[in-house]
Parts: sequence; C-alpha cells; structure tokens
Amino acid sequence: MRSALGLYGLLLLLMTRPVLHRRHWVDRAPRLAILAWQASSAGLISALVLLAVLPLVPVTDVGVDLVHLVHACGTALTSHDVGIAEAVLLLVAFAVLLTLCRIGWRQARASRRARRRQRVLIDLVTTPLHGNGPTARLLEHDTPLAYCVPGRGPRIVVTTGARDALTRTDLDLVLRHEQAHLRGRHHLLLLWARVLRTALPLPVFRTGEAEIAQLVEMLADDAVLEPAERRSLAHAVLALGGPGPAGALVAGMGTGGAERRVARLLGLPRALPRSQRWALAAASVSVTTLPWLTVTPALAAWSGQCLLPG
Amino acid sequence: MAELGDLEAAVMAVLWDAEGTLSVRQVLEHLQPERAIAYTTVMTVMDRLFKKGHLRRSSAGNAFLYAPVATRADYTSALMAEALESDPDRGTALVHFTTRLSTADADALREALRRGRRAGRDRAGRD
Repeated sequence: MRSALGLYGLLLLLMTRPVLHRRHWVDRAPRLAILAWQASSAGLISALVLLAVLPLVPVTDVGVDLVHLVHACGTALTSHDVGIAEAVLLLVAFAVLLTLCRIGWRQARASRRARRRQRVLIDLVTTPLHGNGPTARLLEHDTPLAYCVPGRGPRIVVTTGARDALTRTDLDLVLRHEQAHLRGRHHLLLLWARVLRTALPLPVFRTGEAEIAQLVEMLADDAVLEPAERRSLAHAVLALGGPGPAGALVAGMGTGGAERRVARLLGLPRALPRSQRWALAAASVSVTTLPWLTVTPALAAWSGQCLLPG
Repeated sequence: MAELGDLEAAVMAVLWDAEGTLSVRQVLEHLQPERAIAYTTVMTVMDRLFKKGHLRRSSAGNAFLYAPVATRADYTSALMAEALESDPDRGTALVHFTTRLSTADADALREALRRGRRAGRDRAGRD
C-alpha cells in the first residue's frame, strides 16, 4: 500500500506538467484546467501525508474516521514502534504541512493589508467612474492601468491614461473582465498557487502558478462571449499592455501570456464536448480522492489480508 | 459607510484645491452647493481624517484650521507605486487587467488583430 502511495505521488509530481501544460484542450476549458491543477496538488499533498501516517496505524483499525487515525498515530509514536525511515517521512510530511500553513497565513495577511492600504488611498484620491457601478473608480494618472482590488469592499481602478487609451466599448469590457475576477474570487486561486510555489519550490508548482495566472485571465475573458466584443477586449489588452513611456514602472503587471490570451480572444475557442468535460472533471476528482481510498476500511482490510498472510 | 468614505474624499478634495488651511465652516461652505450636509457631519469627518493622519490641524481662536498632510500627487504616486510593485512575498493583493507586452509581442498582436478584423469582415460579408 505504501509503495503504491509513493508511486502515485511520484507519478503526480512528474506527470502533472506534461499532462496539463501546453495542451490544446486547456485553452478551451480553463475552468476544468484550473480544477485539474488543484486536484493534482491536493492529490500530491494527500499522498505525502498518508504515506507518512499509514505505517503508524495498525491496518485493521483504520476507518475514514480522522479521530481514530490521530489516536492510532499517537499510540504508535508513544510505543516507540517506529523505524527511522518512518520517522523521517513523518517529519517531512509534518514540515510540509506546517510550511504550507505558515506561508499561507503570512501571504494571506500581507495581501489583506496591502488591499486595505489600497482601499484607503483609492477612496481618498479617486472619483467614481460614472455609470459603472459603485466599485469602479477613476484615478488621475497618465500611466495606462486597470486592476481590481478583491476581497471585502472590492474596487476596480482605471487610470485616466487607461480611459483615454480605450474606446467607450473597450472600457466597458475591461470593467466586465475585472468584475468577473471579483465575482469568481480569482484572487483565492492565485493566492493558493503562490503559497504552493513558495512553500514547495518545485517545477510543477512554479509552472502551476504561472499557468493558473493565465487561466484565470481566460476565465475572466469568457465573461465576454460575443465575437466583436472579444475583439474589442483583445484591443484593450494591446492598448493597456503595449510598451508605453512608463515601461519601467510596471514590474507588478508581470509579463508573458498576453499573446496566448489575445489569440484565444480572436479565435473564440469551441467549448469541449460534454463527454470530455465530464471525463476531465471525473479525472480531477479521482486524482484527489484516490490516495484516500487507502484508508477506507474495506481496502485496508483487503490489503491487510494480502500483506499479513495467515 | 460608503457615503462617509465618499465624504472623506470630498473633504480632502476641497482642502487640496484650497492650497492652505481651512476651518470646518469653510469646508462646509465649499461642499454645501452640491450636498445637503450638516456642520456636525463635516466636523466628524474632518476629525476622523485628522485622527487617521491625513490632516493636520492648528487651533485659531476657538476653532481648528485644517490642512492636508500630503498633496494629492503624493497620494496618487503612493497608490500607483503599490499597484505596480511586484513583491513576491506580499502575496497576491491585486489582479491586473493585463501583463506588460514586449515590443515584439505587441507588434505580433497588432498584426493578429488586423488579420482578425479582416477575417471578421469577410465572414460578415459572406453571411
């Protein structure tokens, strides 16, 4: 059972990128692609934790009951019945979980503070962007920039530089895109991807973060479906992302991905067939739940019989 | 609450435009043509702005005179600097509309857009 878990973890670690990165279906179903990335990370962490915890537990005792699991671990540890390899694995799993929590907490707090500061400043120096709802604000500044401040009390900020670079239609579509970010709580997806990458600096999570950032943009773009409007939105990407006089200022905007996004806006990708969508969703769910099957009583009993003959 | 925030912005705007110190009464006079607003409300808002560190005040007789601690341009640059800062440790506070394009990328995209527009017209012509 343990070697199966180990193999499973290794497989996820090595295969997630080849399976999810730069695949044609990804751009046609960004939401499912995001789900698949999340499923892979959840499966990986599950496998690691279970790999560390399982050897401490007498196989026949295990139910899905978490209380039992913790209790059994405690008993095993206090009875000094643990080998070096098991102890190391347990420490690693514990360290990974602890690091995830610590970094998650720190980054969430930092983001929350930065957003609070933004809101204070926004409310003091911006004016309402007329006719665009209470969240849209206009900032007097020549650098073309549009962004949203998610969380409680959301705001969308558009600079006068951005407004002047866009037509009225373009601007409406930019706002619709940003509203989709806010509605979809995309910042939480970005935060989780950032936390994973920071806590576990592995290639798979590095790619995952960059990919989620692009997928989230595609998802927000899909708030606009009419082909002519999607062309306008592509024009807005170019108008606001194009090299401008204030190029040095804009490190925070990041780079990359715009080409893929514009191509997608112009090409209007066909949605995946229903059967493929179901298959992908089912695959994602299985990837997460598969390692947990090792602690279901039936399987555990079966594996107990196999491992302990007689 | 949102209205109070709106009022704070309006009070700051009056003081920034005045380029000097103003009393609550003077700020009220600037605001009143556009808003039905009470003296005590403006006083409360200005007191809050003072306590938050956005205004400084000096007493003149039995009233206070207020002035902004920093200029509007200072606030704007602080806002822009934070919006454009990229500190990986700061988490993911904001979501930008687009990433920054290189000149080559921008040219390629402009070309793609031109092609796309032509294709769109052709399609429309066929329909």
